[in-house]
Amino acid sequence: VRRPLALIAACALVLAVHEGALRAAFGVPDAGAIVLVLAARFAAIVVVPGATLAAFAMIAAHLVRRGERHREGHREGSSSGAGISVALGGGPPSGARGTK
Amino acid sequence: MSSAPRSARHFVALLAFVLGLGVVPHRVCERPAEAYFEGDRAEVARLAHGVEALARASRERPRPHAPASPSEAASARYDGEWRLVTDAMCAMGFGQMTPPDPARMEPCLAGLVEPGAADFDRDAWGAAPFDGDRGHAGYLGYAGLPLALHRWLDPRSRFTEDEERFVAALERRFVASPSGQVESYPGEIYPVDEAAGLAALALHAKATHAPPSPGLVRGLESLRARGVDHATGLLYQSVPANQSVSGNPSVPGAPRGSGTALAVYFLAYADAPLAASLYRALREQLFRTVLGFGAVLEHPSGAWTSDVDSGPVVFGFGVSATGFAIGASRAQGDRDAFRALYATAHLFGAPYLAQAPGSGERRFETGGAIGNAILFAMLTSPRRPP
Repeated sequence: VRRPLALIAACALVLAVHEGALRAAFGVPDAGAIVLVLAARFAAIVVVPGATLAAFAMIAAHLVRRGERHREGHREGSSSGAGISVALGGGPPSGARGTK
Repeated sequence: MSSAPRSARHFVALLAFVLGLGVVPHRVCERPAEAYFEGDRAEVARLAHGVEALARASRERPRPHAPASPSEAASARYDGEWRLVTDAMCAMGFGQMTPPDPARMEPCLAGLVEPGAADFDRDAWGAAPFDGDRGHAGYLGYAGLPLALHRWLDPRSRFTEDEERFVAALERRFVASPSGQVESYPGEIYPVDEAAGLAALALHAKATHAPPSPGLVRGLESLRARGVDHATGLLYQSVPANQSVSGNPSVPGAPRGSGTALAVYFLAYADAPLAASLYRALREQLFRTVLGFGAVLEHPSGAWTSDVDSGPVVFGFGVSATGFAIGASRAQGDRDAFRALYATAHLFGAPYLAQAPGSGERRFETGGAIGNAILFAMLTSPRRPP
């Protein structure tokens, strides 16, 4: 989950940089400022939405997978070990328990 | 974790990224388009404030000194043309707003008729634009159109004398030319410049309640016959001047997106059927959408070659062609194309709303004075021209 969270944080940073670049470049007829604005804008508008959705999709997939593993764990725990053996009468012979 | 669930997770992420890429960006960018298409007064007022400030700054910049070398002459010509287009488009924008604002057109009109405004044209011809009966279609057309619009909006315009001078010079030229075509520079005919001049003549006729003049009728006939490529239906970017001077047939330049789109905007004032037919050709052959963003190819072949008219050409799409097509699509009532084209202008133009007295001041940050003035005129292009 760390990676998608880092991606979401990076997206938020790009949006902030974009807003800052727009404000800073207002009324500055400078090629460097324009290039910076365009780069930040392209990242903020074109890349960020998809990247954010991808990050959320990765988190959702992770949670789904974790839920599945959790359920599998529960199922395995109730179908093995002493409970079943006792219920079926198939536990180890009393002689093996060292209680003689 | 096993590799199968991991690759499934990556696939889901990739799918989400592609979904986000295809669905969100163009929708974000086209959001303000509806307000411009519908002529939202507050939104247009913000843009008008921004353009006004930029055009004022452009006018206050000193003009270049007399060119000493060919490269200086070329640079002076472009500088002169850009100032002319900036003032002309700024004036058109104020005249096309709802309601129109003829008073705010006046500083731009003053910039168009001031003595230095025609220097670039005079340097090319070696003669003043009003002398004789040949040429100067670019200067006369781009300056004459907003002057005629001002007169139509304000019958007592203080620029009436200037307007009469420009219109009379244009009329003389369209009548006197053997082919009905008028050069912009010696040996160079640009049909789109002629379209601007013809729009000026048409608006003048409407402003003075006169029937279409002989020059207007002749110029439009000639534009239909010699300016339009009949194979594609698009406008030629240039036509060799010997056609005009001697009437001899010669090979015209290729039809292109930038000239066609701007001509649609101009001709909406002069010849609605011709404007509609050029727009249909543009829409069918040059308009494309990429991820929902609209753009117009500069060349029907999709070539990447660019020049001062096309502006930068990226993957075959022209910046000028795309910008001018915004006005063309609005004038033709094509909401879908307008929305898609505006989305592209919004993405690459980077509009920013700064705090200013009143409703604020919006500028397209990458456009400079000329880009903002052009977008102002295109975004206010009349849906039902006079």
